Amino acid sequence: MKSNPSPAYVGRVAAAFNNNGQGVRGDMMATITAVLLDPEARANDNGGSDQVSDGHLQEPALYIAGIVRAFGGQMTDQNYFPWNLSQMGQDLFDPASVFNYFSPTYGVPGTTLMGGEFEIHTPNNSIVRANTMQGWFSQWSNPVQSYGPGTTVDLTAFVPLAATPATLVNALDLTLTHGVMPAAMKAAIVTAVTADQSGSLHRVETACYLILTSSYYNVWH
Amino acid sequence: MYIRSRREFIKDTLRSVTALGAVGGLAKFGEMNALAAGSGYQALACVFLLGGNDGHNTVIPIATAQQPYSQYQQYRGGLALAQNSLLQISNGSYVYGLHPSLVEIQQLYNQGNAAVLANVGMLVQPITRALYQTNNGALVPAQLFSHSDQSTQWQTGIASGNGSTGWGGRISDLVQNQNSSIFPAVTATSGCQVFCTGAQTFPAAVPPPSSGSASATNMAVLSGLQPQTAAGLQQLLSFDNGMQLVQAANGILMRGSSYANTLTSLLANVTLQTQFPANNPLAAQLRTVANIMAVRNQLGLSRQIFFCMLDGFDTHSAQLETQGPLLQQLSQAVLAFYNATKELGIDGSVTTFTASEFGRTLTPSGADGSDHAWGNHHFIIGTGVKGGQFYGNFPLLAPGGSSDANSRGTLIPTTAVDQYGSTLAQWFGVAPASLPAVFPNIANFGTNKLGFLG
Repeated sequence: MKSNPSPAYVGRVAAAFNNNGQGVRGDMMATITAVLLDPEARANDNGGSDQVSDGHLQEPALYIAGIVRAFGGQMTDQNYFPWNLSQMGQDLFDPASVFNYFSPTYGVPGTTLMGGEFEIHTPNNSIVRANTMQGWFSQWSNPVQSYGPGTTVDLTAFVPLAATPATLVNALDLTLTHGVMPAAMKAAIVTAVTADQSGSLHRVETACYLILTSSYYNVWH
Repeated sequence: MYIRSRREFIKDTLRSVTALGAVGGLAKFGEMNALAAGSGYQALACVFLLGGNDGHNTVIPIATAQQPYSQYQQYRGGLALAQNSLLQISNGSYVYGLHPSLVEIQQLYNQGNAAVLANVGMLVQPITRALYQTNNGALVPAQLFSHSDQSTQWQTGIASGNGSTGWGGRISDLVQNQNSSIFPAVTATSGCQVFCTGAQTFPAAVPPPSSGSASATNMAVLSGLQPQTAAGLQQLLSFDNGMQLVQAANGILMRGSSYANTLTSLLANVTLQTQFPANNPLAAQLRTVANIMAVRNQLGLSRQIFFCMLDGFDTHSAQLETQGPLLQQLSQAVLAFYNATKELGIDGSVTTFTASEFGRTLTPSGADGSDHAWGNHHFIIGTGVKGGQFYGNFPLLAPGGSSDANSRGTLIPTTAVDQYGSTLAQWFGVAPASLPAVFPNIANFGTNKLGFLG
């Protein structure tokens, strides 16, 4: 949920592990429920309540899978992402050691916070991530965005909205950022979409690229 | 004051050449070039051996006043390397042997360009076996023998394990005024571990090219965008809605794009002649480092720190067949890199040093491996190194002996990482008064300058 949970939040999760409410210790469903539904985890559900220390960067595998899922897309085991994931710093199923891909206590440079996923999010890897979005959302006329044979994201429903950029961005906001995208960010994307002269589908792809490469999207909060 | 144009200066120099005679005039011009190209540039290259390299099979006593080969052989059991396979080196009148794979490092050692630092490791303060065995946690680093903790401690120089900046990054912070701002001082070739993080400076990440590629790096440049999209991206990167992690991600993307654009265009014109061994991940990284150093002037950098990693040293089993090829990769890569620095005319300005999160137990574990331990031996390589000798104190290889923390030959370091790093830092230009900013605990140790760099 976040890389820097408050001690109280951690305490509530620990309490749920110790006693699921029915005197049972070690109930993982209760524990995970506590992680996901804690008031601190849900505090920004309606937007406008972002805290300075909120958020955690989506690691590459969750980032890619999350995009497909958000759009209701399809992915098979023939997908072309293993190379991209390893270039993003996460060679899936082959971490460097038993300590997995990153240290959970890695201090994010330039902040006072921890953010394990940042340890593999080097400046170079972040560019690979952005370029993957550019390569993926780039079909010339087919609204179904394929990435290799195994992955498709169908943008058909968004194409008609491109005629009214603000409507398009609102729809993508609901799809990708649970409807709480800040107004200034929306405005910037609307400006870019409006200036896009390469057709409706291209407008949709531009909006997708800008949202999916934004730090606002990459850092779940 | 009239400032002559460059053309007038050269014309005057050529006139003086013909007047004084070719050799004298050209030598003077050559001196000018040497100053411009070499003086004022220094670089550190850290080669981090991930997993905990077994130093006991890296540097072996053969004939020393302290102990003969037979003592090593006895206690190493099935892990012992045959005496006649070792590459002999001398430390004064004592004879040691290097692991058979270290052919190139033996060569560098014997020509005086490589030194051994014996028994170095993380310490809070100097400690004896007796004091260690009082089990007072305040006297020793936190979480000894833990990979992640010790790796963090080696890289941060903070024995309590709470460091969030690395000593490479902290040195980089101190030398900011000697560098331009278009490219950072610290470059990582295999992941930006905490060593690279400064309080004010951030590293560049430059992966080596895929094997077979003709490119100098595998650095990603942001794909071309239509103008409205590029403008939108710039706008979004400039928003600050207060969340530190979002801001951090913005900074990373901006730096990634800027560094890649800067470096890849410069490297297009670089062709190093020095050959680097193929199928060697460390050599690939060091070749990338050499390429970056080739364009240091265009990058405006007079101080650079490089961080490279070679993985696979956690030899709990199959140690002999695992460590051998890895040390060969280390040795061959390091020599090629040294030769590249000579090709670039900066071999006196570049110092390469090894590091690892810990050494391993003298006593084998299981059939053919060794366990996590503590003190370890490391190499420092460069023309500026006072090589061909050992620094630090070579330990007694006796389980349960005075050098052992327990009963398995877990060396208690007699030199601290702080001292190792402080010696490198001072050579790099960090003033003694500034050392505590890099190594907060340095005052706990006898000397902050070990002598391997003069």
